[in-house]
Amino acid sequence: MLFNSIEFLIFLPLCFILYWFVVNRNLKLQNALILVASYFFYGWWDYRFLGLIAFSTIIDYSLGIAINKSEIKSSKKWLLFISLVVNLSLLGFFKYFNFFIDSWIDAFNSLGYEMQASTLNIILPVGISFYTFQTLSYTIDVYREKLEPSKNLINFAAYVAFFPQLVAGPIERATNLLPQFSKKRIFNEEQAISGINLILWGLFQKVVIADSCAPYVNSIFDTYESMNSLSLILGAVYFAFQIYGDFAGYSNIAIGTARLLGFDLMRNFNYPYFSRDMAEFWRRWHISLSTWFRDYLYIPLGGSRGSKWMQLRNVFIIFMVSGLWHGANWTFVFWGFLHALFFIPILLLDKNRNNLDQVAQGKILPSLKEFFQMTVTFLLACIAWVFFRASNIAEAFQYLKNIITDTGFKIQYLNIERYNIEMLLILFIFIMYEWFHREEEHPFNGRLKWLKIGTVILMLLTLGVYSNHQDFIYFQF
Amino acid sequence: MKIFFKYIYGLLLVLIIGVFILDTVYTAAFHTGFARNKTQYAVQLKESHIDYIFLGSSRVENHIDCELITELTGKSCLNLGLQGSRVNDSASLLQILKDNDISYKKVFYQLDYSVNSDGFSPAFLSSLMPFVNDDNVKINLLSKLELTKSTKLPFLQYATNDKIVGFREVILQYYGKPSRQDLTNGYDGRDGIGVDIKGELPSSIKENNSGILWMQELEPKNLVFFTAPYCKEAINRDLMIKDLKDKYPSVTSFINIFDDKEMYFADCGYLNNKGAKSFTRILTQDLLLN
Repeated sequence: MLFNSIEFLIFLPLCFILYWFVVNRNLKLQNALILVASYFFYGWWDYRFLGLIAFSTIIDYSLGIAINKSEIKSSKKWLLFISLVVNLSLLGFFKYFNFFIDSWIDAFNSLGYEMQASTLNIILPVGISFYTFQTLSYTIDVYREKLEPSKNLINFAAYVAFFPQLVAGPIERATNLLPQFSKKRIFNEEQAISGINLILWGLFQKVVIADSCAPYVNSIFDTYESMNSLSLILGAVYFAFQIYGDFAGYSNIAIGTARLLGFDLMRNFNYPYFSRDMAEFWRRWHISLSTWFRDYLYIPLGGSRGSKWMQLRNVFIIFMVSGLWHGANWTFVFWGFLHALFFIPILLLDKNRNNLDQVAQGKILPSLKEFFQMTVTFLLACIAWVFFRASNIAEAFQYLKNIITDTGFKIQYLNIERYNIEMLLILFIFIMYEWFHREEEHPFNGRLKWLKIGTVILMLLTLGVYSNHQDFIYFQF
Repeated sequence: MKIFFKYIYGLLLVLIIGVFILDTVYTAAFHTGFARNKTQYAVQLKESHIDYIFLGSSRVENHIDCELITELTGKSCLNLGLQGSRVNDSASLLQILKDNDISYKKVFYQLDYSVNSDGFSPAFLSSLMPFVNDDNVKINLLSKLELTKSTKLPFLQYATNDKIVGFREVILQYYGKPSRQDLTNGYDGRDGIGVDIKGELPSSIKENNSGILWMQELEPKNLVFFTAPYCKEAINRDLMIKDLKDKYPSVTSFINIFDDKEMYFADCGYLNNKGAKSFTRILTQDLLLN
């Protein structure tokens, strides 16, 4: 079920009414309702994979209890190992099996050995990367004794399948979300209103920004060979906003929906395109994933301890694994590799914790230096996005090469019968909205709140894309 | 929960007011503005006479030059061929013209394998949306369109068809930007000469098409079927035209008239400008002057 669908428009109020008016006096029933609703939400897409979530849930629930009960360090380790193998095997099979087979054959063929093998027709279960990481964080935290294992299967199953964030995150830590299932929930007006505001803002980001960018991006990337420099640059910029609007929009709707049910999820995006360097960008982009990798991969590898070489190695590992997490394609790995490259100067100069505050805090405009830093960071991100969007690495390099070699800066009329100026105007409005509210989680605050809400609703109605709405990009991950 | 529900009511109020205002603004734009597509043009045509009306898909839009027909015959002509259209779209246009009291001598429909599919094209339905709630849209058209009751809801028909009748089109309507096509003629020729052209056609034709039946019901006497040329390389061409003639014996076929004129084709299914003009001359001679 998509957040921007009629089905969800019926499903959410129905859940809300049942949750707060029918089962509100009984925490167990509330959690059971969340579980049933979550399985229904997921099953609407493909009920066959419900078994996979249930299997993953039962395995990690049992292993969590077993790890906690075991008093021998080595058996705790073995139990954790089983959890890692089961979860990563499921992820590996459904997401990476064909990729590894293909890459293996390509590698052999490039060495001159003829090799043929058939791949399987595997359907990727939506959200598998998200809920696998969520269950992994649970067993690891139980093993590290940061968390008591859940003794209530319903609560644990509801935590794994919690519908607001099941298919595209934020990837919640068990330490944050699981205890919330055991606490009595009382309706909090302020929390619920902020949830509604986030849903509204998320819808705007998805339906107006991301879905409006999509046809431009498709048109430019599909015919990049005949596009001039300006169109190619705009194509990369549009994709930067498409993926941001798409994913930040989803996250905001997810967080808002959870708040309506009395849950607090972690923030996933914090105005990443206003970052002054790549380190800051990664503190603001897909925060739940980057902190997951930090806690469960980067720090165990040694993190920022050890020699510079070790630190660099760790940075390359986490960025490239993070790239691979996004999809079974070398383009994603290269995207991660590029981000690691962009990180090198920051790391070598020890500047990775330079910009911890919000840019131009308390000021209307940034300084020239800040503006320059933000522009450079955004351009670097755009270069990496070209690899993320392209079908293969060679195409991405050709795309970037054409930007430099074509040197045509005349506005082109695109084959979607649209002018660039239309999209640029929408993006300008969006950037202004974000800039003037960058210290808040959404723009609907202050004296002019209702004016802003009215404007956003009008823009949703007039500029939103409803006839050929796009799926959320991060569903494929 | 009182404050929360008050907030929700506030949002709904803003939404409802917005929807009503926008519905009024959008509807006014499509009704008062210049026609920017053929559907709008047909809806706006009132109580006039056109001698020859051509209906069909892009194989009419790209092939029949009405200006040339007028030059050759001295009669008025209108090409209402629509790119990507289905037979029912053409029947709807004929229904609209009838309902608008447009008189004519003959209606021509270009018949090919498009009769194999029923229904309406999404683009045509989208272009019709601003007019489905008009008082003058006759009930027989609405019943054929099989529209859901949701079109009665304000603004919904604009939101769900935003690609054709969305905000961008409304702005262009108010701005008065003319259509890139001359709608009084309706012809849109293709450039270029096809190289190494190929094509494949279905070998059989469906017997009963709801759009054809609808057109025959609307115009039992003066409806003329013809088939425009396809390149000789098109696989199954002869089988298709044989079956087409069996199912629709009145069709006049021009399917092979340019078998020795490859330079007339932009691709297998479409003539270029030069080919289209030549075809228009032949068709005029065979069907209009003789």
